[in-house]
Amino acid sequence: MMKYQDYIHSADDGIEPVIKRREPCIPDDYDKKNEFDLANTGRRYDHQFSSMYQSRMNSLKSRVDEQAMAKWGNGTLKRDGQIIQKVDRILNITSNKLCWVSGTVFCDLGNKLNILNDVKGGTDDVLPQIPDSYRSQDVGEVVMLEDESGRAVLEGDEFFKENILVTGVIVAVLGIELQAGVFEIIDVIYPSVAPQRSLPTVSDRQGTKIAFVSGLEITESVNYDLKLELLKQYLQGEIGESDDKQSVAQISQVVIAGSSIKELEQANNDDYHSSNNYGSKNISRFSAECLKSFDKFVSDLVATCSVAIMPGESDPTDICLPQQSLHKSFFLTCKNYVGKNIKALTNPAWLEVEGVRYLGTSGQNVNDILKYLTNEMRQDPQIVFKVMAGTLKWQNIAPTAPDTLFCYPFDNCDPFTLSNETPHVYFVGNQSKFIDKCINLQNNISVKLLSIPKFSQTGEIVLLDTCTLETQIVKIVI
Amino acid sequence: MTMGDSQKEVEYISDKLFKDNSIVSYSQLSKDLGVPLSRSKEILYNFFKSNKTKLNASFIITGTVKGAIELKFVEFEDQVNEHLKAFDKVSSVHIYSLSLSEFKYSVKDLVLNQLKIQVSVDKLDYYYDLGMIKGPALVASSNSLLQPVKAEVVPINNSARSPTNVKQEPKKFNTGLSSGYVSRKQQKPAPIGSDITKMASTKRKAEPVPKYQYKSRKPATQKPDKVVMSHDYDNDDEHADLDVAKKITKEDKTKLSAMFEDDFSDNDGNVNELEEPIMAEDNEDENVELFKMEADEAKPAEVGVEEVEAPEEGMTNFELEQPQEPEYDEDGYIITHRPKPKANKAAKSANKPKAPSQNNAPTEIGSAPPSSKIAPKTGNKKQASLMNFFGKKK
Repeated sequence: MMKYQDYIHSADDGIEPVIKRREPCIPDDYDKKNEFDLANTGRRYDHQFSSMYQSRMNSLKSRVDEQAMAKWGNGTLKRDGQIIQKVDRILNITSNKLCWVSGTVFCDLGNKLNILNDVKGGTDDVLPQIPDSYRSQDVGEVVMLEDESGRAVLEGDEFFKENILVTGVIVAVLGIELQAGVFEIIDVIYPSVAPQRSLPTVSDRQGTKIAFVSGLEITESVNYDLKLELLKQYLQGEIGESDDKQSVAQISQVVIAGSSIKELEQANNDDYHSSNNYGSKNISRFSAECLKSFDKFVSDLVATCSVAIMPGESDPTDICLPQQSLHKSFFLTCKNYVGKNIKALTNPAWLEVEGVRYLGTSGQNVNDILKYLTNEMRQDPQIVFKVMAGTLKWQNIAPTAPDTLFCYPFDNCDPFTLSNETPHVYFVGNQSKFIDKCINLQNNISVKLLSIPKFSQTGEIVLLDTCTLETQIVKIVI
Repeated sequence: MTMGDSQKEVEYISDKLFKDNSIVSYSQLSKDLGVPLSRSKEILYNFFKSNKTKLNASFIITGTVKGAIELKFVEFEDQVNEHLKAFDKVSSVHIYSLSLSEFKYSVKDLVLNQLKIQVSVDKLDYYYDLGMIKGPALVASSNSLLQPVKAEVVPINNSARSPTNVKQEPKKFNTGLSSGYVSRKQQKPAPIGSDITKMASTKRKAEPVPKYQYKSRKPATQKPDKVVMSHDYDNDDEHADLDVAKKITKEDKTKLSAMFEDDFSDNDGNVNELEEPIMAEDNEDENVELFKMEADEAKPAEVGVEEVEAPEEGMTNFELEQPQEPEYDEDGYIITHRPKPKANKAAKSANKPKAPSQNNAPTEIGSAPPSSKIAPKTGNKKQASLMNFFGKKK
């Protein structure tokens, strides 16, 4: 058994060789770089959200119908002795006949936020408390399929144990209407997958590493986490010996996937009547000290590595998706490098590294979908992977927006729909645990799914080799 | 401690630990003294070995655990070997910090100590020489990179209201902080390039022009010769008050004030009830003339003290209560004086014009003889008779 003294290295001659880091791998410009950027004048709320749903429907219904027609046909195929018929509208479903129909899923859950209730209670002008789960013990859950003509309640206990359907998803369902308005679901079809660019060959890629980290939740200095300091020193190459340093030098880019700043804990104030919206009671969610700490962290890091920063749930930017990049004023000591060494990204954001296309979010989309699920489903260790895979199958990375996920009321478009491209790598930040899995979609399209654990809780960051797309965890333990 | 450790470094550590009673970390030692990182770890460890009984050392273990790279911070030296067992492969072990064992420093203290270490972008080469990995050259970006690009996903109807449009719209109301005061000091233009101009250039590009500025609706050529009268009691225009008040004698003040107090008093309407009608009757003929003149010209209500050319405007009920022998100016116009009204708030509100468009009362009254004001001798509320003077709203 070796003692620790055996591992202590002695400095050779007191001269430290200068080790150079790999060049940053995210180019200054690439396709879809500004996919989720909004002009200042674009952040408006004078549109109806229905336009967004309609746009989603228009975009995905034909793709769903195409898939359903290929699998189920229209009067050409039989299942359990019954001919499968296509029904154009939900209203035209005939009872006791096997058919398929496409539409938008709507989940009516007891704990979902309801603006009408807020208006009734006079609390529609304050940010509602987001529940941990939209499911209620008291109120039964109803999953429906709707189109322009009407709604049908989807029934099928066994089906819903295996499949996830949340509000906003465009699907085609096969089943039988057992009674008026109640549709027993047997099978489901998702939209055809948007094309994927051809992956550059390994030889064309240099093979650097990207460090993905999320949920730093940097606080003021008195509550600063030593893990953050160790992370910074690790990325600077100060921790460990020469072998460690050589390994770290392979990291050419750090991507911070949201929730970099710790929000202040707000006392619950339900006394809306006496609260003063413009007075001392309407205090900020953020502390200037936290922002200073974050600025110091980034400025210390940018001295040695390029940093790309996505905003997240707890960051000082828009609450609505797509969250716009953090303002450069937050980077007080290093604002000159914002745009070059510091890339302020949106959430979601597309990245391109050596021809490999990445799509990432800071996790709100997945975390919101998890609130639709039963406790049993959420206990599944692979549930985050299933949800991530679901968003790709549904071809919409944030289907629950705008129902339960705040987003801008887009007019005649839905930016979260994968309309013309499927990424090679799809990462989601601020998750409870690390997941690295590939999912095979139609037409030999394969996507690597990465869930980036929350650093403040796990102390983990993810290193991704841009050449092999293999990952490695770096864990900092105190 | 070895012979290789220079006196300077040892003194630095000793001072930090024994004089300042603070914590010394390898990165702090490296940056403060310009010692390479690996060397600073060695020096710190040697110092610890020499003063083991007095010091507490924290360590960092690097290696792999279940395939993952792990950095383990160990707070106390005697725990390091225990933690080594958890590693599949140990890459290195090195000291992280030193502190006096008699002080029980916590991890928080260590963090606070570490946060004092600043990395300056001006000294990057210095840090690279010490062992920090050399990153890409820092490139200052142009502001254009930060400007939001117009969203492809949001077709925007520019004709609709937008934040930028809203900014350009003139404000209809101003609370007066920026509009009321105009300095009479002669403004000296600041020299170009001076601090003042620089500061101004960093502020708003164009200061909003005060929106609430009084403008007479009269043609510019009709410049007044004199301030003839005050029209509106409610308008507390200080200039008007000053001008008029100078001309008011003490006796007039007392008399008129008493009259107004009675007129607007809600407490007892019987006292001095007869004074007002008597005065009005005496002036009836003149007042009729004046009201006829007033009727020729509509006058805006927001005028507090109207600087007028002719006596056609600005006539109020107050004129009815003037002494019997009016003063005339050199042009033959009547000069009236306005006492500082002492009427209570209720009286003020009663006399307040409702809206600019409603200030056509003189026209109405001009058509109706002022005797209507005289009539209610038996009325208890003088306030009511005063309002009658203005006539009914149309």
